[in-house]
Amino acid sequence: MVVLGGQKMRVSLETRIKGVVTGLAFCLTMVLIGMALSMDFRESLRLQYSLIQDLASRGPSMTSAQAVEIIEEQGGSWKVTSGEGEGIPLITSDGAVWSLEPDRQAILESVLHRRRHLLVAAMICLLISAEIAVFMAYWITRPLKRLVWGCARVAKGDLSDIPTEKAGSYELETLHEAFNEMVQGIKGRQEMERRVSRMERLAALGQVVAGVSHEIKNPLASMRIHLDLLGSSFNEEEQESLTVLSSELDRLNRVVTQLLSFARPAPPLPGPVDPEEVLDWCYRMVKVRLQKCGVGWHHHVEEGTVLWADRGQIQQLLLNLVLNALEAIDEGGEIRLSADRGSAGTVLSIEDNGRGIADDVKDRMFDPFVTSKSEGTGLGLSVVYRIMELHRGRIEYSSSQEGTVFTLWFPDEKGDQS
Amino acid sequence: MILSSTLLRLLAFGGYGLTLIILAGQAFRWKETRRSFYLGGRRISLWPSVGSFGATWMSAASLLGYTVLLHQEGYTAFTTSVNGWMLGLPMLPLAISRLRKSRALSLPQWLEDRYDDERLRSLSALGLLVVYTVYLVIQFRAFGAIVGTMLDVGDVMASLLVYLFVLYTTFGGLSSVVKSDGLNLIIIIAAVTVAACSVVSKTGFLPSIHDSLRAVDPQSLRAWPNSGTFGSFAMALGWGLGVAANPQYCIRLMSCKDRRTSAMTVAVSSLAISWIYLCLTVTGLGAKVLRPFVAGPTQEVVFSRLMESILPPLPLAFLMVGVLAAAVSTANSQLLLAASSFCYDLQGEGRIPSNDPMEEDDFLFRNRVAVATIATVALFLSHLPLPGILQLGRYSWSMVALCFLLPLYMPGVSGRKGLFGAMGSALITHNCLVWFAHMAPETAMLPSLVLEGVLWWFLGGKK
Repeated sequence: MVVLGGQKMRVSLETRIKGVVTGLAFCLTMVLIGMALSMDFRESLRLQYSLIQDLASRGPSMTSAQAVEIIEEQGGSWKVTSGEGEGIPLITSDGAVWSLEPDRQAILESVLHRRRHLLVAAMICLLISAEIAVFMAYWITRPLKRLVWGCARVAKGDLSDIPTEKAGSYELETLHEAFNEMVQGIKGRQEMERRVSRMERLAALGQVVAGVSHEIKNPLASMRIHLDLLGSSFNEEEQESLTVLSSELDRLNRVVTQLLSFARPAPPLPGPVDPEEVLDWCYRMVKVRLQKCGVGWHHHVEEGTVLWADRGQIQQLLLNLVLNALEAIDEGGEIRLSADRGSAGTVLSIEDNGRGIADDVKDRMFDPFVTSKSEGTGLGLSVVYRIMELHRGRIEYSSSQEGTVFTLWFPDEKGDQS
Repeated sequence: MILSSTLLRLLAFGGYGLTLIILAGQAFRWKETRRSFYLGGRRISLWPSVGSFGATWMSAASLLGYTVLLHQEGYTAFTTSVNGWMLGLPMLPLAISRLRKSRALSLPQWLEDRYDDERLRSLSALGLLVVYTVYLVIQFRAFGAIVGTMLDVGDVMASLLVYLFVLYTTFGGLSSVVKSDGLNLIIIIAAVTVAACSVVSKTGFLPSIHDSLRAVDPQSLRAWPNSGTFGSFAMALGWGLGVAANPQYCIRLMSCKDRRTSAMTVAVSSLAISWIYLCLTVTGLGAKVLRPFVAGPTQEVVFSRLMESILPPLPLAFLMVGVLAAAVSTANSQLLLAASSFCYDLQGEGRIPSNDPMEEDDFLFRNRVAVATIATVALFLSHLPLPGILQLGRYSWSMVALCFLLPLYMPGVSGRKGLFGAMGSALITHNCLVWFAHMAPETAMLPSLVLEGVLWWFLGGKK
């Protein structure tokens, strides 16, 4: 925490990393450069002293002209003063006296010039260190940032995973995995809560629907009998009205039957079912409509596949799904069905290339009375879902604008789900 | 203790490097978007904007090239180069309103939005990617030559330095670039002022310099060259139109916090730029008086030799650092634009901004990778035997003018249609004239520009 102008400012991890690494690099560079230059300088100074001392010791054996020649050879590295001074005295054979000492500034300049490559290299290293610090900070804080954004997303109700960093460290990868596991856990719990809530709602709804349907079904049966009895006593014109009345009664009866099968479904009587037979039956049921709509039909059954299910309920389930697919497909589309053996059961798949399921009903489409069709009852998929539940199976789907695929897993005879 | 020239230069260079690292130390924002990365969130206030505009304007090539040309040719250097550059400056305010109305984050995107043609965006972005990579090569070469001479180290080492400086200041996006640009403009102004003062102390101000030149080389006082007036005029016009259409300046106008700040940026920057040119003019002409003849294999070497011979060690070290600041400030802005053209305008998936910060973060990460890649390619190219600084600059400027000048300043020439065909034809024609007919880029630009206008008029259906 840094206090600036009475305000507390929190220093970010990124700034700390950059500051520490760059500072450390700077100090190390300075120390190394300082050591190198200082050693070089001392070495040069020592060399110059030894040269001066050597010259001074040889002074009495040389003339002043020879001494001047040697001094000039040394260039600007020496400070030469005539007469006695603070430096080392040089007395020649002809009596000339000089005071010699190394020129520290000239030596320093010469060292710096000699070592200029080292200085530039140090600058390059410092820059590289600063950039490494920046990247290190970025590399460490980026996954943390993503984690924070992921938390914010979860808080908003979006339970999607955070993509794991490919080049991330083990610790951050573990943190990401733990976060994703937590998200999956929340997702699972929400799904369970949704299921429980759905079951409760369906139970309450089922009771009401069963009661109401029962009360409607009896008068309906009575109306049907009386309508049949009245049929012969009307003239031809009135017969048309009777036909309409009859068909509407049938429709009402079908809805009530569906409601009852949804509310009080009969317990399944599972047995071995040949998927080929069921798919053929389904095809025969919709053949005319397929031709009318110009929709293609393809089905494939893996050899030796057997479905352990209630034949009647499976037929109803398939018919519901295929009719839904037909309504979603435009002319020229196709429906593909397949039955395959899973590791401990059978997998049925119904695929169409229709318009897909509307986004606004996707989340609730297995709930009763939820439909995107203007004339639908919204019971078809509820019934399908209920049948799968009764068979202890599982239903999944994926839908986009290119089509929809329903995948149904049926457990085998032992009741295990693949 | 009087420090030697080498030590002073080393100190100046080290000081510049450290100041840049400390003051322009970039930070990646906690929540970055492409808007903040490319345009600083369109919240840049006047002085930072002036700093960025001015520093981007003063490239190492112009600072160095203009001084050397002035020394060699006198005032004709002004009329053929600076005159042209300054010609484009008053045009920029005319584009402010158009640019700021749009919510585009790049000039190619502005073209697409304005003319409703996705191909225009791709074509101009491709052009910018090529042009700015070429221009980066110029900056690296100028910097390498100057640092090489200044510190007596090899060109490779010197280029590596500018590469690192530029990378360092570009990774943080426009905010980081603006921060370092402010520092760079201060350094440039201080450097040229110190250099000019040093020259004036020896030669006197412009009237005295003129008097001396009249005696030494009266030809250097004429405004236009005796031969090739059309070529010189075309060159000036080419530079001017290139400046007026240059996305580097347009982006700075788009990034200001409001329209008034954009207009003020142009106005205040023009004062700073004029001052810099005045100082360079004094330095260049004064150098001619003090040292009439200096030879060298390249402009960079001539510049170094000339300044070494006329300036005392301290102003010389200052001026060299000013050239480095000019190279860094122009290069980082060009690098950012090249990366934006590649990641934002040329790649389809990058064009749609996302509300998801993670997707934005991924996109910006790709931008940083692009910044590093483009800089590395430019560093590599800077060591190849390519044409000189001036040639590359002329080519780049004319390409930019062909892409943006007409759509930016004459949108009423024709309808929305037909611009892609016209621009494509103009670019092809220009390149044919330059590479096959060996015309000067700015001379080739004029017929290409006329062709573009005519074709657009015909194809656009506004007859």
